[in-house]
Amino acid sequence: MDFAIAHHLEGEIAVVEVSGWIEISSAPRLRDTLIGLIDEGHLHLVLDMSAVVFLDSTGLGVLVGALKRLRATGGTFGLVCAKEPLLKIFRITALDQVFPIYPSVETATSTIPDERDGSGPAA
Amino acid sequence: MATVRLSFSPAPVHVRTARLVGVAVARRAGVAEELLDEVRLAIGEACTRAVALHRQYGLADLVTVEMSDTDSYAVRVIDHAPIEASLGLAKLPPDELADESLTDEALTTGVGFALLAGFVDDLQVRPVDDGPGTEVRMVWPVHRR
Repeated sequence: MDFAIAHHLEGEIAVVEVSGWIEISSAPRLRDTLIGLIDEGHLHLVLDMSAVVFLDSTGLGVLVGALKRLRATGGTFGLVCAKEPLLKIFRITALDQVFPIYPSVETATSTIPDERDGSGPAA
Repeated sequence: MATVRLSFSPAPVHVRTARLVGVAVARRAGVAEELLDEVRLAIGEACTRAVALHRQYGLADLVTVEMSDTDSYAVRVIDHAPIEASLGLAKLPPDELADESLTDEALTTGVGFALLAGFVDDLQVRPVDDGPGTEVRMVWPVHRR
């Protein structure tokens, strides 16, 4: 499995499922999908990384770029990730302090409405 | 002593090849299995950085990856970009990561270096001996069977 990406809507939240390798050669496809959804007017995105096996700095750069765009328009961007090797990458880069990271899509989609209202904590 | 040397044109698609070769040589050299994910990520980051620099400066020169297992597993990734391209190489503090004014390139470079520094205990970044360019040298311990 190299790289695959798909999305569906859960209410106002666009859930993007990505799998495989997020790296220098696949990061542009991830960027195009996220930017496309934002440009279509989706303000609340959840990226399900449960099936991601590799993530490098170009992928992280895409995630931060999407986060900046969403913040500028009052949107939210949550990540779903429970794999320790990937979580370590977020800790080493200190991006765990920048992104809300959830253990499951269900947790993310149930928490984001609270975040949006300013009444709920980020993970 | 065994040395494997790989040179590739600065295209993103070749970074994966370099990672695969780097991990295969590491495994054969006796790097502990639990370190191989870090070896894979670090070699990928160093090669990604080199490819990005060559593309940024319009250089068609090959990127070189040299792996040797004399007493430890040493990997050198060599680019040919002007040395000033590496002067700003630094780990970004967390409060700067989502800074609106930070360019995507600066962010990716900063995050990439943070990953290298975080995953490689023995890491050196130095100018190459001849001509322009930088060498990223990473070393991991090996356990002989």
